[in-house]
Amino acid sequence: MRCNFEWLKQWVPIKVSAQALADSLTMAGLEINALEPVSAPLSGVVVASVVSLQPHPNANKLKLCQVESGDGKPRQVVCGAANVSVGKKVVYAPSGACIAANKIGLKTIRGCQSDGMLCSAAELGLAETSDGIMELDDDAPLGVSLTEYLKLDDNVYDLDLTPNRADCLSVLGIAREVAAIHRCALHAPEQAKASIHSNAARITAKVSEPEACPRYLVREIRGINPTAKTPLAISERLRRCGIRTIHPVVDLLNYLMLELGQPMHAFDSARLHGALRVRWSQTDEQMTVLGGDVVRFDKKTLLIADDRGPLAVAGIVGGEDSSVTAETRDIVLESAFFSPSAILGRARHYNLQTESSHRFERGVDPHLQTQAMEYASALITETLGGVAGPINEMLEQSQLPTRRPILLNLDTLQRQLGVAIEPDFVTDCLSRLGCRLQAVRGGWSCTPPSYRFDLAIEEDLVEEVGRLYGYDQIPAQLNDNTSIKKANDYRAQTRHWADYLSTNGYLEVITYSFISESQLAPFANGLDTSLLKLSNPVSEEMSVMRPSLWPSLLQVLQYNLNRQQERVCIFEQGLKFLVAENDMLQIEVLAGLAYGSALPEQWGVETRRYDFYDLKGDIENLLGPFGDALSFHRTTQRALHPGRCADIFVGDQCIGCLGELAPQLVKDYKLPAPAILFELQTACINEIAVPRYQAVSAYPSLRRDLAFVVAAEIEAASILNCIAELKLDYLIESSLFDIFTEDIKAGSKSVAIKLIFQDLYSTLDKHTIDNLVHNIVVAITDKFNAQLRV
Amino acid sequence: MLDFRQIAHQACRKIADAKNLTELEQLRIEYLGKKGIVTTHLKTLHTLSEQERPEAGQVANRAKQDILNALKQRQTVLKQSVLDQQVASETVDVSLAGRRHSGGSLHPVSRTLRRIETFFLSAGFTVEEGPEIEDEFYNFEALNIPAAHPARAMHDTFYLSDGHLLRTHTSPVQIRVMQQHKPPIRMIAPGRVYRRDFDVTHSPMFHQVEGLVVRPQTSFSELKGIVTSFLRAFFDDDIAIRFRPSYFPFTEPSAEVDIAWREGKKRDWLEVMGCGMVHPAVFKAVGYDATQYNGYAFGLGVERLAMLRYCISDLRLLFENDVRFIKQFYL
Repeated sequence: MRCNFEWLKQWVPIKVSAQALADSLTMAGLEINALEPVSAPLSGVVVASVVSLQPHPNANKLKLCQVESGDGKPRQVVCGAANVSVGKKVVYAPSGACIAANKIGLKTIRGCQSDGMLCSAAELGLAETSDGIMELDDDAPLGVSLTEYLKLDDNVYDLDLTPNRADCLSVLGIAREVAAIHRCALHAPEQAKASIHSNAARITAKVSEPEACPRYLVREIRGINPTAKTPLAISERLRRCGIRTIHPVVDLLNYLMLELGQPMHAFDSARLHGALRVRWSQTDEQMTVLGGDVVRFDKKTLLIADDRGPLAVAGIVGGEDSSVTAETRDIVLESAFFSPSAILGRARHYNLQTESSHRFERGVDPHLQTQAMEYASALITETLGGVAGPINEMLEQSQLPTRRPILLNLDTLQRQLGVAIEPDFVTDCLSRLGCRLQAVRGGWSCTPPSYRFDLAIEEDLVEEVGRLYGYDQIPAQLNDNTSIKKANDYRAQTRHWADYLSTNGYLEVITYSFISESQLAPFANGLDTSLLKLSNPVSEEMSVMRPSLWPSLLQVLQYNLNRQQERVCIFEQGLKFLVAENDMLQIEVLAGLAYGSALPEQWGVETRRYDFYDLKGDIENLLGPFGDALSFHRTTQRALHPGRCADIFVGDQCIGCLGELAPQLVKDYKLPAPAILFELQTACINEIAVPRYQAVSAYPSLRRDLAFVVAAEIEAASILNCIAELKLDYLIESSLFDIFTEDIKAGSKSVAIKLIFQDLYSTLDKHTIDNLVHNIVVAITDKFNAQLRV
Repeated sequence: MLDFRQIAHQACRKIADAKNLTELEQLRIEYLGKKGIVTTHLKTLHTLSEQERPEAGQVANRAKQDILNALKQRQTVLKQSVLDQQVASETVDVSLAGRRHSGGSLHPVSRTLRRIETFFLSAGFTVEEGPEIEDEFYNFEALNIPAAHPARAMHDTFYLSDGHLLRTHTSPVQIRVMQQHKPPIRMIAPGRVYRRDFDVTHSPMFHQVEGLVVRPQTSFSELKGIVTSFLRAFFDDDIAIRFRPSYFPFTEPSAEVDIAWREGKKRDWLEVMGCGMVHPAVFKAVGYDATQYNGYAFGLGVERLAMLRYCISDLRLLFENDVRFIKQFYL
């Protein structure tokens, strides 16, 4: 909503500056988005009239104008506008005048002197574009500065109104607020009534849905002057408030709507057939609305119709066929109260949001219609002539919204706000807001005014008192309400994982949760049919809820490779979205990608590509708390290299996987080398047990190394598992520390295993250990057909 | 009879000239070894007369002692010089870069979220989470935003085909927590939220932190207290803060919170949070008795705070994930 200061001051005579008023409105809950001057700064620009016109001797399209601005001394101005004519009142910037930062000077144009210029509205900053010079009303006083004449020393407020404050969608509404905030009286300008021509026809209307339209007023005005123009003072105010001028009747109704908040509509009488009816739409009815779009009413919609069909979408937009035009002589004015529930949602449904629908769906004052009709008729007959017929009012009093009294308890008010507000202040404040108050035990019974649709419960009144008291006057208090909460171990652990990765060279990224379907294709493991698709995506690129974080990470990789970054190690925490048997799963995962050299290129370190085992080491560190329950098993994943990917298990539960990007995808993504990827389901954190202390031995440990030749395909883990299954006493560590195939027969490999023995209570003797090692050798040679190397 | 004094004098001179520990050892053997000059001659002392022996013995012993002292002294010097040489040969170029991983980093939005969480954890709040795919009830209806309510226009919503939607705020977590727990409640809910808005200043996905306190008695004044303390702690600064009346369907009274922000020479109010007293309709939706409890709620946009904290001027940078950008945020 835009509203200019000058118009507002006409309603409420306050003395504060435009800026001070803006601040006070903002702090009372009517946020001022911007406060702007209504025109470019002007000096020396005056009202003048064109005395005579001559063609320019050296140019076809230019004219020599003699312009007079009240001092009796005509001056010559060269002008190229088509609409310049003798006797017309124009805007004249003589040499020496200033428009914005431009100083106007004496100029010679094609050999003729021009003392300044005649201005267009665009040149003055009063319009976006203009066709020709600005024309002033015929009664504009010569020589008066334009700033004074058009009251350009004015500012316009751009209000960012919250949806509950429909009552402020008018100059009147804002003025009421200003009066309440600044404790001054509202000063309604006098509004003339149109005289009723008794002979005029009485237009008939029938409201068949009184619950949707409790009040409906119509009146016919006959014989308007179709060539009359919207007065400059009115079109200027419309411009300042951001409304375009269209047709004098429409302009005047818009003007009224801005001033009082009542949207009205005018029909061309000649194009109506029979009585007006306010009724619900019928199945598949349709009409052409203003602007030319055809609307098919596929939702229960309130219409204004005549014998032939729909004329307007009630409270939203008029129809093209019955609208006023340049030929219109007789009009029918409509001033109605439509129930918000009858309008709500329709404008959005048909994509027909208008100034009118905006007001009606939020609530128009149900007692405003007669006043609006009178004011509109007066504005129209004064400007366009014509005679007004009687007002025909259809009223269903019982359906008009009523404001029920609300009980406001002083104690509740003080407790909610946390400040001891005096009862007198409450009385004063609510009265200023137009509420009727009655004292009751402990508080008030308060009836809000008809235009305050938002005041329904006690808390609403608490806010009203609070905001006029001033939120800034309420102290900021910290109560000592000690509250001790159990730590969120899950969050702490996910933080720890992120910390681990970030201290080990990974960068955290945040990518969109929606991706494109094509991006996903290579990752879909037969999931194609069960993707979660947005029905209204921003674009195809962001249309599917991702079932994996990998496509997003690969996109980040590509983005960075395209920017000459050769090493990209990244991770992300977020949800992946799956559909399983009609159930929607939102699974929190930690996923990562490593690409490039294992360590940054540096002196003294051989550069080597990041590989499967680099990433696996990081995962093993992350999942260290799971100890022996952690295992990795060969698997297949469409996106990963079949020989280089593994599922990650904790006990018998798969919690994620890791692997090298499949060679085909490396090609598809045009990567110079494969990336390594992982994904962990963070829910496994809940399985981490608190560590139990294990005694540390005071006696020396002994190490034995064994080397075996085994078949190349035997997995390291199976050999270590074989040792573990022996459950040997004193064996506290066994690990594989070397592996090689050189000098070994083809198809075999040598694995070297480190064994550490230690007892808690004594020093182990050689004999005991020899026996244990023997058991191990026997078990391994038997199970894997291995040969011990000596 | 040899002149021990002369022998000692000669020995000491040679010792002082010894160039290394090997030469020094040879000199020790030459003079004090089993067959050394001094040892050999000491053995001849017994051939002297009773009168001569004591004095000659004294002289010989002093000479031996002098040589021993000289050897020890020289040895210390030479050992030191060996160490010095070793050290000199081992000197490294300390200006060369250290051997290392490249440093990783957390995303600035994560860092900001952590900073926010840390404050509220210390103020006794729990951290709660909820799903990102929600339904109409949790995202709108329970929060007093019925269908076709004009406030829905403020939330441009992404819908899934089956009537589900992507949450437009983290407020649904309030509802879920209240459904599961009786008051007192003191929680925040951080997370991703989605709105169908994509331009220079809007991202279709961003992060919010919602807060909720429900107790038998709390007030707008306490809400101001916690929000003010948070903003001052977050910005490490006694910044000016103002609470401005506003409207949210799920709070009444409602306020927007602005902070005074200076950018270059321009000083302006910047909107950073929304808050208010929980609307009775919300309590009703979760089955709380609105006469027994009252509560306050607040919500903030994490990207906004991150941009202010790190002086990031363009929202889009946060989701481009350029590694050169993310690397910068170590705190």
